[in-house]
Amino acid sequence: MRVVEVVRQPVRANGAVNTPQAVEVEQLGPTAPPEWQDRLEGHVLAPLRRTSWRYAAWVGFLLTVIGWAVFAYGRQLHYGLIVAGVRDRISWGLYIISFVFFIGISHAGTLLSAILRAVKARWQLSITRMAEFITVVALMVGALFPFIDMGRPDRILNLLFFGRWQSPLLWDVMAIGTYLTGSTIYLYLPLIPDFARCRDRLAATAPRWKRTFFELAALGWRGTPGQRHALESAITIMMCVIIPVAVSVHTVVSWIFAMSLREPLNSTVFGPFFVAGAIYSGIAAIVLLMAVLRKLLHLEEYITRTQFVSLGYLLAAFSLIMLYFNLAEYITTGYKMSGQEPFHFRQLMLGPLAWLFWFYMLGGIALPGLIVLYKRTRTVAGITVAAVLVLLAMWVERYLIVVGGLRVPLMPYTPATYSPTWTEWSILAGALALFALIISVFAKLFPMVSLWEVIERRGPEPAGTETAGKQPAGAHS
Amino acid sequence: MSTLTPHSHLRHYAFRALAGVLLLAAALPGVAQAQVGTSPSAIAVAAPDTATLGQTILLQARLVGAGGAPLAKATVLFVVPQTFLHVSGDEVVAQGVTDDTGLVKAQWQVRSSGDLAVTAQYRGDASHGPASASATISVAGSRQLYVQDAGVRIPLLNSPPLAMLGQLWPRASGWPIALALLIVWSLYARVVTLLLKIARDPSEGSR
Amino acid sequence: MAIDLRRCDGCQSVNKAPQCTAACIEAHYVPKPMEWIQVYEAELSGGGTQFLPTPCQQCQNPPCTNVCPVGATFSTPEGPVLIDQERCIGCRFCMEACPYDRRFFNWGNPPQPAQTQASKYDIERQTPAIRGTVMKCDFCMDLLSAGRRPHCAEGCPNGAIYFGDLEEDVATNGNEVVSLSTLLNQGTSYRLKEDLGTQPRVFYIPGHGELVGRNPLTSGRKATEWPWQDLLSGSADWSRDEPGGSW
Repeated sequence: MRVVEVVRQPVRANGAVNTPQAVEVEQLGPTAPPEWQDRLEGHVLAPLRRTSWRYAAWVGFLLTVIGWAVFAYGRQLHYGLIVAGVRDRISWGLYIISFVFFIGISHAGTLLSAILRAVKARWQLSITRMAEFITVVALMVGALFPFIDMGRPDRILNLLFFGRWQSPLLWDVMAIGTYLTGSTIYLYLPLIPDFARCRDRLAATAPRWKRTFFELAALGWRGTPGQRHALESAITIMMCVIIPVAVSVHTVVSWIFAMSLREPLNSTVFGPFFVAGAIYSGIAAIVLLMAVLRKLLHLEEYITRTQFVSLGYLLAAFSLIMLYFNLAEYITTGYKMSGQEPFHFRQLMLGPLAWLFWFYMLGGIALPGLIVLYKRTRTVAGITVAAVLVLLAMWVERYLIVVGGLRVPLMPYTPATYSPTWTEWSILAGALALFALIISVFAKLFPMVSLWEVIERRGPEPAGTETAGKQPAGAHS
Repeated sequence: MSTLTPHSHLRHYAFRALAGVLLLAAALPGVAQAQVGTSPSAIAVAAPDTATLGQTILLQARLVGAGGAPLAKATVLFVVPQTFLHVSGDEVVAQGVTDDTGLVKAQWQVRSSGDLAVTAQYRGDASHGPASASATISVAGSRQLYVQDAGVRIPLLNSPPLAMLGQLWPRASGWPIALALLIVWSLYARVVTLLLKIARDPSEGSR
Repeated sequence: MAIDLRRCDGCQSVNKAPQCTAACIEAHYVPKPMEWIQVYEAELSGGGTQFLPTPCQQCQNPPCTNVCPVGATFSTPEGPVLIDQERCIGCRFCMEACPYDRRFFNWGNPPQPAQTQASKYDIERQTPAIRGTVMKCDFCMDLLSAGRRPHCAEGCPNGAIYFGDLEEDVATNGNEVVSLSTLLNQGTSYRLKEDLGTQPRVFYIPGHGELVGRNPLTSGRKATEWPWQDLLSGSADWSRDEPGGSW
C-alpha cells in the first residue's frame, strides 16, 4: 500500500512549471526557509500555549447557551414532545431539519480532503485539518438530533435489542456510526506527526496533563522511515475508504424521506441530490470556519485568498450542480403535475413557503455562484458572505423538504401548519453552541493547521496569488 | 367443461327436485300459491357431490314453469346458509340468469369446508311463483387460500436458498449491509494495525 | 373491511357525529385529537360531497412496518397491523411513511380514565395510552377473538361497514351475511391510493349515501366529540395539524 509520491506537479500556483528536481525537493525535504517554519509554528501553536480571557468569556457564553438548551430539553423530557411545534401531520420539524443540516455540513470536510489528497492537490493542505475536524464535530452534533426528536428517548437501547436492518433509520445509525469512526481516524492520522511536534515543542510550557496527552497521542512518532511508511499507508487506506462511506451517509439520510410514499419526497433523485447539497453546504461551512479561525488565530499568511478562491470555485461549481438537481427535480414533476404536485408547487412558489423557497433558489444558489464568479466580489470577504448565504439557504432547503414535504395533504383535510416553538429554537441554538464549543476546546488541544504537511509539501504560500485572479492557485493540480 | 355433459346429469336431479318441490307445494298449498294469479314454478339444482377447498365448481339449475316449460331470462340465486361473527343468514355465493332452456350456470369458488347445502333460489315474478332446491356438497381440505403476496421474490436475492437462511436466523437476510460494513470496518482495523506499527516502530530512538 | 359508501351519510340522518368514530373513541378511550376512524368529506367529480370513513387501511404491504427501526409495529398473521407501545421509541418514521395519515402520536401525557391507567398494558386494545408512542386503529383484535365485529362496524346505524374474512370470503354488516367477493364486485369496489401498492384490506364501494337517502349536495357533518375525556379534568390537549398551546 505504499503511496506513490507525487511524480510531477505540472503547474505551480504562480503558473510556473515545476521541474522534476523542484518536486523532489518539495517531497523529500522542507523547501521553506527555517524562519518561515518557525513563524508558522509559532502562529499555529500559539492557541495551544496560552488562553486569553476572551476565550474564557466565549466558552462561558457557549456554555450558557448550551445550558439553556439543556433546560429546554429537560422540559421536553418532562412534558413530552408537546412542547415542540410538531404534530401528527407535520410530525418532523426543526430537529430532523437540523439533523440533515449538520450531517450535510459534515460532508465536505473529509470528502474534500480525501478527494484533494487523492488527486495530489497541494493548495488545500493548510485547511485540511479544519475540514476534517468540521466533519467530526458536525457528525457528533448532528447525530444528537434523532435522539432529541425521539418520543421515548428512554427506550434508545431498543435500537440495539430489536433493531431491524430493514429500516432506513438503522441504515442511518450504521452509516453515521461508520462515518464518525472513519472520519475520526482520518482526522487523527495526519495529527500524529503534529502531536509529536507539540510534544517536542511544548514540553517546557504545557501543563502536565497536556504533555501526557501529546505524549500518548503522538504514538511515539519519531518520523522514522518505517513510521512514515505506515502512516502514508494508513492515510491512503482511509482516504480511499472514507469517500464511499461519506457518499453513503447522505444517500441514506435522503432515503429517510425517499422511502416514504409521499408525493414530493418519494423521488429517485434524492440520494445524489442530498449528497450534492451536503457537499455544497459543507464547503460553505469550511469557508466560514476558515474565515473565522484565520482571523482569530492570525493565520492570514498561510490561509490566503488562494484557499478562499479555490473553495469559492468549488462552491460555484456546486451551486451549478444544485441548480441542475433542482431542475431535474422540479421539471420532471412539474411537467406532469401528477397527484399532489400542483399543491406542492403552489405552496413552494406562491404559498406560505414561497419566501423561503425563493430565498433558497435566488439567495442560496444563484447569488453565491454569482458572487464567486464576478471578479470584483471574488474576495475573501465576498466568498465568506457567499458561504454564509449557502449555509442559511441549505438549512432552509431542508426546511422546505421536511416541512413542505410533510405538509402536502394525504387525505381531504386542510393543510397543516408548523411553526417551531422556543424549545426547538433553543435546542438548535444549543446545538450550534455545542458545535462552536467543541471546535473551541479542541483548538486548544491540537494545531488547526496540519503543520508537517504544510511544511513538507506546500511551503510558504506562493507570492502573487493575492492578485492572480485569472490563475487560481492549485486549481489545476 | 362441456355444457352437454352436465345437462344429461341434470335430468336426474331435475326430476328428483321437481318431485320434491311439487310434494311441498301439495302439502303446503298456501306457500306455493301465495301470490295470487301466479303459476307455480319449479327448480332443480346440480352441483358436484364433493369438492376440495378453494376449488371453483360449476353450479347449475334448471327452472321450469307450471307445465314444465323452461323459464328464460330469470335470475336464480345460489345461497349457502352462513354464520359469521354471530350474524346468521343466507349468503348469496353466486347468481345467474337462465337461458332459453331454463338453464343457469354459475361458477363458485368454495372457501369453507364441511357439508355445504347449496340452495338454488328463484324468487318469482309477477306471473311465476318462487321456487328453490338444495344440493349438498362435501368440501374437504384445509388449504390457506388468502395469501399475502406483497413484494417480489427474486431467486437468490430474497427467495430460497437465502430466504431459508433468513427463516433460521431472521437477521441473516441483512447480509448485504453486513458485508458492506465488514469491508469498511476491516479496513479500519487494518489502519489500527498500522497505528500499532507506528507506536512500536523498532527504529524508535535511532534518531 | 368493506365500507359501502352508498350507505354512509356521515350520520346526517341521525343528526349526530359519525357513530363509527364515536363508538371507537368511547370503547378505546382514544385520546382527544385522534380519530382512529375518521370520516372525511371528499369532493365528488359531479359536484357535492361524499363521506369517507377512513380507518387504518391494514395494508398487506404496510409501509409503516417496513420502516419501523425496532419492529414495534408489525403485521399479525390474521392481517391487522398492530403497535407495541411498550417497544415504540417514538421516532415517528411510521407516521411519515403512512400515506393515509392514519397514525397518531401521543405528544403529551394522554388522558386516560383511572381504571385504564391502572390496568396492565394490552397490545390488542392499546390501553393505557403511553406518552411518546404512536397509536392507530387495530381492527379491534380483542373483539374479533370474541366473535364480535369492530366497534365502528357495530356503531354504524346504517350498516355501511361490512367486516369480513378474506380467507372464507364472507362478510357481514350485522344485518346480513354476504359473500365478500360478490359484495366487492357488485359496486366495483376500490381501495384508497391503490396505485401506491400498499394493498389495503379496507375496500370502498363507491357512493355518497344514496341508499340511505342522502343528497350529495347536503354537505357537513357534526364534529367529533370525546365525551369520555370531557369527564376528566386537566388532561393534555393538542391539535393534529397545528402547534398550539403556550408551550
